[in-house]
Amino acid sequence: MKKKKFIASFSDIPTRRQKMPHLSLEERRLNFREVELGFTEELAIAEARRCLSCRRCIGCGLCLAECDQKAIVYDEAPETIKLAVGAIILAPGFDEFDANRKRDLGYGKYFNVITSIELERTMSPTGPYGGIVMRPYDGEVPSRIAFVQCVGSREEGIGANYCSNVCCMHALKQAISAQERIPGLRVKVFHRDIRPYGKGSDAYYLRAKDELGIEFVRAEVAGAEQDEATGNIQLKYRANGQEAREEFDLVVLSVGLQAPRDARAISRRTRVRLNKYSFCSTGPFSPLASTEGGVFVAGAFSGPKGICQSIVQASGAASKVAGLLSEKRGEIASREGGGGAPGEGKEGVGVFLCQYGLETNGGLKANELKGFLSSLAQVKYWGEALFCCLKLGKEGIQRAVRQEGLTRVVVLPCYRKTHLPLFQAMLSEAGLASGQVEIVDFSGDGRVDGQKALRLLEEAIVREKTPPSGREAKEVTPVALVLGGGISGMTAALDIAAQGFNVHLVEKAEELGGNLRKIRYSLFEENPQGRVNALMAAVEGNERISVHKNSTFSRIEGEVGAFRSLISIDGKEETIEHGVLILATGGAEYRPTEYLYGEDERVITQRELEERLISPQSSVSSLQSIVMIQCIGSRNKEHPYCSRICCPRAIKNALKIKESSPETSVYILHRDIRVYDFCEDFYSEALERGVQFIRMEGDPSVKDGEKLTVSLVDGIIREKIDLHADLVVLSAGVVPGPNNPEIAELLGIPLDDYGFFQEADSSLRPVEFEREGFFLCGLAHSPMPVDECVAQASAAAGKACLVLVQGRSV
Amino acid sequence: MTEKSKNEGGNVLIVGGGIAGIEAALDLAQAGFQVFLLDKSPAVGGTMAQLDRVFPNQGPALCQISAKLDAISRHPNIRIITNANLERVKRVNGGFEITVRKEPLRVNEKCDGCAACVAVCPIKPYDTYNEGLMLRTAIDIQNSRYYPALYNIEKETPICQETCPVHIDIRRYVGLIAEGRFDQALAVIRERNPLPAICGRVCNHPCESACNRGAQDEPIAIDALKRFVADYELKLRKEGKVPYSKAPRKTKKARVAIVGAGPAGLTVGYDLALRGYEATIFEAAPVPGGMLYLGIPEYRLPRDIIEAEVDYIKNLGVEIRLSTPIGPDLTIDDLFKQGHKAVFIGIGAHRGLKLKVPGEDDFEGFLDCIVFLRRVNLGDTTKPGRKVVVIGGGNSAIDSARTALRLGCEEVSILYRRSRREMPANPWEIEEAEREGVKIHYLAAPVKILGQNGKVTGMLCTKMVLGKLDASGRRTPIPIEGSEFEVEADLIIPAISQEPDISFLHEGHGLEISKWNSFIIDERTMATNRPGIFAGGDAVTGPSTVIEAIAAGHRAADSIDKFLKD
Ligand SMILES: Cc1cc2nc3c(=O)[nH]c(=O)nc-3n(C[C@H](O)[C@H](O)[C@H](O)COP(=O)(O)OP(=O)(O)OC[C@H]3O[C@@H](n4cnc5c(N)ncnc54)[C@H](O)[C@@H]3O)c2cc1C
Ligand SMILES: Cc1cc2nc3c(=O)[nH]c(=O)nc-3n(C[C@H](O)[C@H](O)[C@H](O)COP(=O)(O)OP(=O)(O)OC[C@H]3O[C@@H](n4cnc5c(N)ncnc54)[C@H](O)[C@@H]3O)c2cc1C
Ligand code: SF4
Ligand code: SF4
Ligand code: SF4
Ligand code: SF4
Repeated sequence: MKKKKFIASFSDIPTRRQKMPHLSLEERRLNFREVELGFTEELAIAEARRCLSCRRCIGCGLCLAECDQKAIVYDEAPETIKLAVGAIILAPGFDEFDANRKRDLGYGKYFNVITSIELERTMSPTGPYGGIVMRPYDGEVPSRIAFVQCVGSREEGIGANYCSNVCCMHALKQAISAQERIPGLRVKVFHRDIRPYGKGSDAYYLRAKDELGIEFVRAEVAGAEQDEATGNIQLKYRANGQEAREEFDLVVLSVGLQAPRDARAISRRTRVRLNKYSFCSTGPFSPLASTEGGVFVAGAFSGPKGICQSIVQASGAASKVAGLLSEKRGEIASREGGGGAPGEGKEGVGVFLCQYGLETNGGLKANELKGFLSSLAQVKYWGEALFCCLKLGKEGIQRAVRQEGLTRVVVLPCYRKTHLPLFQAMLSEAGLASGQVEIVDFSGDGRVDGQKALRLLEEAIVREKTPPSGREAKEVTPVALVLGGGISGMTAALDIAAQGFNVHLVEKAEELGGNLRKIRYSLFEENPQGRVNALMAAVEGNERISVHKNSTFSRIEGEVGAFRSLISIDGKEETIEHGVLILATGGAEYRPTEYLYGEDERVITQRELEERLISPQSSVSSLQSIVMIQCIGSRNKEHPYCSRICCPRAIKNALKIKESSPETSVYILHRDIRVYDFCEDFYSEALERGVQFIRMEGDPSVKDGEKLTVSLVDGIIREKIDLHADLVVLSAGVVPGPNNPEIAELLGIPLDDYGFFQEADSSLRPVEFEREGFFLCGLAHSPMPVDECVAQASAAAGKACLVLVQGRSV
Repeated sequence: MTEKSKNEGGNVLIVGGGIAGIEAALDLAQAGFQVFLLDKSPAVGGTMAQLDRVFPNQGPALCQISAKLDAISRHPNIRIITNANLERVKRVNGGFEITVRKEPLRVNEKCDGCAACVAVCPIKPYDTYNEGLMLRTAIDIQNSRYYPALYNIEKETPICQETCPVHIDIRRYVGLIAEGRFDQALAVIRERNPLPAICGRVCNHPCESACNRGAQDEPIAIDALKRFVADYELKLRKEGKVPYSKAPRKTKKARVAIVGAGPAGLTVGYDLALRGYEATIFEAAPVPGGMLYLGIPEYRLPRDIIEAEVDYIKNLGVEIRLSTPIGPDLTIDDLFKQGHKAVFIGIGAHRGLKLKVPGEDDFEGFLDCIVFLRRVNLGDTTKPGRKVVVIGGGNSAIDSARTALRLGCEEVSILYRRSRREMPANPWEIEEAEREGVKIHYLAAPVKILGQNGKVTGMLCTKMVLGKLDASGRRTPIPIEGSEFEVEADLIIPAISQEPDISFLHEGHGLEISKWNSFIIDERTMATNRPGIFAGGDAVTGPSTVIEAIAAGHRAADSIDKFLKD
């Protein structure tokens, strides 16, 4: 149940709960007389009148009387439906943390303390205030907003010691969006660590902080109080070791993600196991599989995650199911599109401007376009619509087409690729062939100024009747080419083979396994080597997979469904025909040049530390003090992104050290500790075991000597401190594969700002390239931990097979 | 492609129609599989459809998802089932057989979306799509903005009724009380609860915690209202104004034996009598009511109330044989031999668990709470000691402490190893206990019992901190090293937990017993592994609540009825 605080009073019913009389303490002494005395008749009736009847239909019949269609059936009964299926995917999502449990932050007490999901509705154009950011107390537009992070996350006491993954990023998003809408808005974000999850997210963080002036305060918020006169909220917090207070107009609690309410019920029915936080339990090498065969999981049910990750998992789970049931595949519905004859008669173009399309496309204003549109002879009708793509806008467009007799329609919304079929279907109901529908989308062309926008729009309007866009049925070569034989490439290859297609796996090294072969142990998995070896054996033993080691890729031609690639295998050239290509060429570990690395042998990387830790004559236990430095080769000018894997890795190694040698002091110098979802438990454990986490300001320095001296400025006390270390361990990050530019060139696909590959759409189409038939997964996409690589690999495989299945019917 | 028509093995069920469910559905449908997309809410879209945008520089999230919503609604391979819940999943040769329960929308496809109904509906619930920031109407296009834009009437079971273990129609009876129709209100309660005056006093009322009014100010005093109407009738009955109604006729031939006259057993008797069976309850104690009488103290539940409600049940024709234990002299098999066709076991959980600390068996002055309360409740009101320490945090701990105070003990305290928030006892009881003078030490646990001359003198305790969540999701208390302290006491009452006392079973009884000494049953039918023998209440769950025992009784009675009919 959601909270209801915005309805101040029900005038028709008494407010206070009636008090039942009790025996006084005196009267209770040394006897067993009943303490509670029960309601009197008057009290009982008054109390009973407080019931809301739960504000659900009371069967008054008024609606039935009004309904001309006689569409209302009060006594409709529930229906039992029986289904027979071969597999199940569980995607029941999550529930937000109930902020009512945090009364001390003022939620449910003060109007102007709201949750992030309420802010999301407030800002939404279809929300209660039409998208205007108002505060609920008095409808004023706030000029000072505070965000309080980690409400209901990372807290053992409330039973949620995990990071909710999305809240830092959505607070950033909300802060930026709110600033766009309210000029001069001041925003403060009270946080513990800033953890902007996802590709490209750190760039937003930096922009928000450095360019937009959004303030980030590392603080613990202790309470909130309302100023009775203004409704403003005083936040009490502790930052840099000092108590402080500050007033805000609106306070937003970034509530965490919890397992869905129904998790237990679902687990009981399907027998899938849940973890201790009631999310669906999965493994690092099998993020899409539940503990029950044939039951898969996707989205936030297996742990808090954002939309991009949910989409990846969904496609991945679909791929797993398709593999499991591949023998039972039914008819393949024809691909989208389907041509149609161009309309007869005189051309009459209708232009529909989606208000939001305009906003996101170069900031055009509808009334500015008025003159321009009426100057074009072809334009017979134009109109502005709110949400063309939803039911609301749809009817208006259809009506206009019929009434005005339009023969062609140009729409200006925001996502061409995804929206074209929608408009085609909508307009075919109004009698237009699909070739007669045109969508203008500027978002692909980078920033568009008004002039260019007008030009594109004009082109679309005056353009001759477009040829039918339907794809002719073409033969599809039902073979996949996978580049890269790391965990991602191997997983993708196995998935595709399971779906019944042949795969060529091209690996430039002499062994499969990639980066993971160097990982000896991990936080969630006892024996990663065993897992990798098993995977390698499965790949090598699969009759549908041809493994080409020591091989490189040199040329590709053709288009989706029918590619021809030239591969040099052990120096010999060979041509491979394939329908799709999956890029899984991974990334590389950064080789440090800083902090005496390579000069002093007491400075090593985390990977080198791991080698030492597993060797039987591990020398670590004789050491007094080990200092780990985070973010080496990450989050700097050269590599302005977070490598994701180094925080968990440092914690993993610190725990390992403490296990064998509890006396050794371990310091982890960091900027934020970024361990997502259930990794948080290991962070807590490390704290408990006495690992010292020090947040540093600026960069540290390392001097040699009898012991190494690490000097840094402590970010909390803001003082310089020196640490003496026997060993300095550098948490080297992930960098793009050295061959990325070359591969990008060969394949004709773009790289992103950091040198990783650029997918089609960072949130909605994470594993596809804009160029059809090419797919992407793993470290080639961006730095990510193993479970995410595996999920992405399955997703890429699944999407690729959607192309390959087209070939089966030929 | 070879002959491969739609076959069931190629069907896929997706539970949840958020962005994850939708994306998976689209992929699978395109790959040639038939997909059933299930969502419990009336519309699909999940949280993403509520968001403003997904990334700062992108358009509305709703726009982004709309193309997908459109695609799933048109794809021939996707069937969307909304307003529906997964009810059962059964594995059958390699696949699954699924049962789904679809709740009614109450507006059918004739609706043309004119919204005339919305204008007149007087009931305004919170608009959950808008997070309660505004109201909608009881008939509404829920989630009007996206698929499927259907009208529906929200008329489902109110949260209080849903939460109540026996699902009393609370909204109805509270409404009747508001109108002064107390007798009808009581009849509504009796449809599901045979012990209204008792539950009206001691029920832990989960319904009130769920009550929607609680988010507004305070929940409706649902339980106290129940007590009021029950007391109201009792008063009139005492004055002779309400006679007992006539016992239902015994229309069924089969006789049923019930072991234990606690709330579970009494409920089975009540239900079966109403259905025309002859039911006999065998009770070991000299009084009926089980823990209601033997455990719960009089100041919370006066004995005449128990007697009156038991009388009501007896008047329906249920026979109760007191002081008749089932055991060596009268075994369960004997009951069958006597001609009973089914047996219900509702013996409760009366055996206190050991503390497992050194010294607990060595000294006098150590009394399990169940033994202590039973003694007092059966009439022994001698003062048991001067300084009493109760160990535990449940209702029985609080009851023991408050009872000891009433017997004149000078100092009564409670030791509990977790913090107040974790304490399982009802919060209002804790408060009363503290007001009456019971001292509660949180985060403390016993280490050793101290004694002299064979008598308890006190206890060595340690302070605790709360550590990590354990697998059950509760925080495990961990002792703080070196924090030991001593507590003086001449009576120690452990009240940590209880288990069923199954020593009455004869050898070779053949019933499946769990490692907690409770009966193993099929949760739906309450049947044990032996045909004709059913079990329920604390005997199955371990110490729980009165209302759960009643709920178990109902379920057992239903399936005994079914068993005897077959
Ligand atoms: C305030 C807030 C802001 C966010 N902002 C962003 C953002 O900017 N960017 C981003 O990427 N992510 C964001 N997220 C996260 C995003 O909402 C989730 O990643 C995404 O919604 C997860 O999708 P899902 O399909 O797994 O779950 P959901 O969207 O929760 O969908 C689950 C569906 O399953 C249904 N369901 C539940 N139980 C059952 C059952 N038993 N039977 C049948 N159906 C059931 C539900 O009714 C629902 O329709 C935000 C989350 C919050 C709370
Ligand atoms: C001190 C205390 C306070 C409590 N307070 C509350 C409260 O405030 N609210 C609440 O909801 N719950 C409370 N409870 C719990 C509640 O009383 C029990 O959950 C409930 O009574 C269980 O019902 P039952 O029918 O399963 O078993 P019981 O009530 O235990 O009844 C079992 C009966 O079987 C009899 N019996 C046992 N063996 C045999 C045999 N071999 N032959 C014949 N008869 C036998 C017993 O004598 C007993 O009468 C309390 C419990 C205790 C101990
Ligand atoms: S650190 Fe994690 S839980 Fe906390 S606000 Fe950020 S993403 Fe959410
Ligand atoms: S149910 Fe409501 S919206 Fe639908 S036709 Fe009837 S009155 Fe109109
Ligand atoms: S108008 Fe219709 S939906 Fe509203 S309360 Fe009356 S009967 Fe129910
Ligand atoms: S207000 Fe409370 S008691 Fe009344 S119907 Fe709603 S949940 Fe039930």
